[in-house]
Amino acid sequence: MIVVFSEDGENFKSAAALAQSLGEEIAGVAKQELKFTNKLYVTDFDEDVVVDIVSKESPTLVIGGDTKRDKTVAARVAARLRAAYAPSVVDLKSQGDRFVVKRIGYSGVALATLTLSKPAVITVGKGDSSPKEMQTQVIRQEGKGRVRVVERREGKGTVDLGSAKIIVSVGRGMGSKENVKYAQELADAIGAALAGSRPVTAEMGWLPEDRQVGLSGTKVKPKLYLALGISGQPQHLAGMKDSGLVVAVNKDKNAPIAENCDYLVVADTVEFCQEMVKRLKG
Amino acid sequence: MLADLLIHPRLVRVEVGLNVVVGFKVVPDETLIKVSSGKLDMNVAVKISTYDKNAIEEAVRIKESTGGKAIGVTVGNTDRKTIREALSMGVDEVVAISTQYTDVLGTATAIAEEVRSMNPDLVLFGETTTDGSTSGLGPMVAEFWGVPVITFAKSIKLDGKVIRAERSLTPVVEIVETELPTVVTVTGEINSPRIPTLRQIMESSKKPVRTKEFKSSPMASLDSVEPYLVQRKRIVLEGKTEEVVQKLIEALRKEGAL
Amino acid sequence: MSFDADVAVVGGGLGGLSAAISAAKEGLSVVLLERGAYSGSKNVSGGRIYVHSLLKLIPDALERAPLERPITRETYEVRCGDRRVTFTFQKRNRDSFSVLRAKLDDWLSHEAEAAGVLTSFDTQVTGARREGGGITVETNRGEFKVPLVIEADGVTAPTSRYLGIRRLTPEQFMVGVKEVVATKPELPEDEGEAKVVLGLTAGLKGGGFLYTNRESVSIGFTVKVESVQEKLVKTSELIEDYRESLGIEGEVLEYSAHLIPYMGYRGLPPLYAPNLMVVGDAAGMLISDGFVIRGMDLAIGSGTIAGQVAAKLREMNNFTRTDIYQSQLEDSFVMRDIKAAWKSFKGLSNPRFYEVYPQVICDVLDSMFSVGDRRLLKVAQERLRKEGLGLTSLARDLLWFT
Ligand SMILES: Cc1cc2nc3c(=O)[nH]c(=O)nc-3n(C[C@H](O)[C@H](O)[C@H](O)COP(=O)(O)OP(=O)(O)OC[C@H]3O[C@@H](n4cnc5c(N)ncnc54)[C@H](O)[C@@H]3O)c2cc1C
Ligand SMILES: Cc1cc2nc3c(=O)[nH]c(=O)nc-3n(C[C@H](O)[C@H](O)[C@H](O)COP(=O)(O)OP(=O)(O)OC[C@H]3O[C@@H](n4cnc5c(N)ncnc54)[C@H](O)[C@@H]3O)c2cc1C
Repeated sequence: MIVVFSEDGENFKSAAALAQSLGEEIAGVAKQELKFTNKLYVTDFDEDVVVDIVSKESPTLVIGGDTKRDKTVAARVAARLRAAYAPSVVDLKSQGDRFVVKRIGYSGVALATLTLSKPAVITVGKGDSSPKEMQTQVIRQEGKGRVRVVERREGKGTVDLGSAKIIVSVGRGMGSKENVKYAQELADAIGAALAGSRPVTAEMGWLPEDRQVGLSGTKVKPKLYLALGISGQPQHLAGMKDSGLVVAVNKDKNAPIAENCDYLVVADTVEFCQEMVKRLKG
Repeated sequence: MLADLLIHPRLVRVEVGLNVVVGFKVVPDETLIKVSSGKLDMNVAVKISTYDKNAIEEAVRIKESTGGKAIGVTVGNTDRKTIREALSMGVDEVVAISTQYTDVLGTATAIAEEVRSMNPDLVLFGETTTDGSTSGLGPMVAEFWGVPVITFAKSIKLDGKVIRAERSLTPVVEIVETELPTVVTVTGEINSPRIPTLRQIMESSKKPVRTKEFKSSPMASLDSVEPYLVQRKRIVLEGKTEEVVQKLIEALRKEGAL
Repeated sequence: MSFDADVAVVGGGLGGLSAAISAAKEGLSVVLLERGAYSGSKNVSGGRIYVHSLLKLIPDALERAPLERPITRETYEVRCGDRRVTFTFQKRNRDSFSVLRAKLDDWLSHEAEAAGVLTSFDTQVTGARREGGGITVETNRGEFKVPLVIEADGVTAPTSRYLGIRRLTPEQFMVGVKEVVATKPELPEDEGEAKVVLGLTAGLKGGGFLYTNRESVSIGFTVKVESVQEKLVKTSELIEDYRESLGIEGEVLEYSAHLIPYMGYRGLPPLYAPNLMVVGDAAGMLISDGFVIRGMDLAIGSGTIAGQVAAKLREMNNFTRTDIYQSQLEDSFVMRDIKAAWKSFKGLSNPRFYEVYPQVICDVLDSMFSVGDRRLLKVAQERLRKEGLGLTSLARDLLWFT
């Protein structure tokens, strides 16, 4: 038995697609009725409840989604089942009574290969492959856990960075929240999505948090990635290394991003944006 | 409304000091790991994993405001200078468990054993490490210890035995509440870790470090670690902004990227 | 007056670490302050170390220290344009090794920790003042009071300057530019090469070097500050030219430019003051005689002596008698070798050394190997006359080196 779960519908699909490729019976846990598994528990996703549901199935493999909540649930399931655990897996192979997986290590500097004994719990991100629809037995299961939600602020899912073709990404070197508008103008001029580093999203709030690119944010691979005032720490690079062409704008030509881009423009971010917009419009 | 909840919690007076255990990991400094001859050179300086400093800072603040104790636990590399850094930040004592490679499950087993014997009010971890980055340790320790877990907390408030936390679950933010004892993992944005003074560093050398060993048989074994490198052209465009922008636009058009 | 520790060592390079280790081994409480995130992080990366003084400090260092390769081949190269004279001297020995400072210094800092030294990294000294019979060191991590400071804070000696005993002038320095390039040397595993290059491009006053490491080479050159200023050249471009001229290809792992003391025995700055001893680069301890560059062994040697003197001063309960350090230095290899190098130091100050002689040597050899006039001395004489020099001045210049 394989169990698939995610609080995110799209991520549930990529997990289910992987599960289907392994040809075993599949149970799912999701927030909405998605017909990609033999059996599906629909729940509002209290973590205690999901951990109970998944663990009771006695699976040989659990494939969770890659959201922060999914990973929290997955690790707990692994502990409860005394199962091998590997989150954010980018490759999975079944080898006899083991799984061989690949995942990012050392903040993006490395690709690690691990062998997992069975049972195993992994998580995977959103992907391109989509699962087949199938006959699904739906079971509703609610419950309350030990952690009470006092208030929930639904962030607006503002863009889908994962599928953007061009991304303009801003870092601390953009200078201020006000200056972000220059990057926005540039993004508009070239039809790009606007994203940012962790400090400008999670810490300073210049951009919404779901715009964060990197190890702890979204992994992107646009045709063109323009990094404005981003130093290029491993955790940021981890999220954009697979981009087609990388252009960096930085006033420091020794910033680590210099080693990791195709074109480094040594310039001020704001001046660069203004000049680009002027030329592209003119 | 949200801000009110956090900025004006009911006036808190905690009678008993809280005992906090904080996990931190000694890791190779990822910014120093270089690729040479196609291999990763891992023989670099070590440090406290970045966000574990935030966990230490939070533990010390709670200890200071409630008059309790903060005990550090670290598994794996037990480099004494790095451990002393945690002590100089205000941790009272460290349990240093040395072991060969172990998976998260093994690490959690070792820590849960310590936690059970210390029976603290709160166990804090960072959201994730900079080497293994599984974010799994906190949830696993909670599971083994049998208490609730709150992950990715970007602020926490204590009110007697009730803990309230703001969880950053991109794109959602949740304010949650539960009773102690509990396990919390904190984000890098929760605070700014203090820089210990030289005198605190001196004092830290007198604080106790209890060393132990742990034998593990990992279920997730690490077979290999390869460089994850994408070769780039690294063309530098330098000069007047108008000129370099022109050059860039030409180059991008030629590449078919615009 | 209560102090925070017996000794504060300012600077966590080889000199500071050696001082800290030797003082800690004598039972003193030692705190070492280093501004980098770890020892070696702020050091120019490649080099060659003569290990005798390291072995005195840590007898089994050859087994444990992260040394790259023993230097078994000494190559000397004189260049003039695209002509070169090269000779190599080979001898199996373990007297000197190529090293990567980031690794060596980091290793030594762990040795220091193990010896009981309290190391404090990310700690920048921002001032120092005399107070209560000792020195108060001001840092980004607060103040610290000690009866004795061992200064090992490098070529610009900030602590000496804070205490008002030192001023810097540009003539005291050379610029060292270094690069570590990833490339597998074509040498047996247990052999390494050190190369000295004379006659750099653009008439720069200085010399180039190359050391083979295990999986990389360290290359670079040292030039006089004013010659970079005069010729208005960028050191980063110069090193690129230099790398190409050596025929080395590979990824540049590190690049750095850095000041090097250029003082000679007579020009040494004050090496002590009450409650203060100065070691290594901060004390101007560098030997560069045209054939070898030595600084690391002098730093380790002077540091070791300072640590021992620290113990003696505590025993005497008088931390002002740091003059003992100077006299112990005079009796050691440190000052003996610096003194001996004094002559060649003066030779190196002679511009002919960099500009004229490489040309002359090449011209002479050129005529030797071309068919035609083979009367060597005559060619040399003619060549020198063209430069307005005679054989006697050549002889005089060269004698500085003997
Ligand atoms: C576990 C963990 C996970 C993390 N996850 C992520 C992640 O997912 N994503 C992420 O981005 N980070 C992440 N980080 C943080 C990461 O380590 C870096 O701190 C962060 O990426 C730095 O952001 P930055 O480049 O915007 O800022 P900085 O590092 O401060 O760089 C700013 C750059 O702007 C340049 N600059 C300044 N002014 C100008 C100007 N006027 N014109 C041009 N250039 C200028 C500077 O030279 C500098 O290079 C994570 C860290 C940890 C420990
Ligand atoms: C490249 C690499 C990949 C790895 N992949 C996996 C894997 O897929 N599965 C697996 O089971 N193991 C893996 N490991 C092993 C795993 O890193 C260790 O067991 C680790 O101690 C716990 O996991 P973590 O580093 O992911 O910590 P996380 O769970 O990300 O850490 C959360 C927090 O827990 C605390 N913490 C983490 N480790 C320790 C520790 N050793 N001592 C004290 N506190 C700690 C810190 O506060 C940290 O911020 C990997 C190791 C490496 C080097």
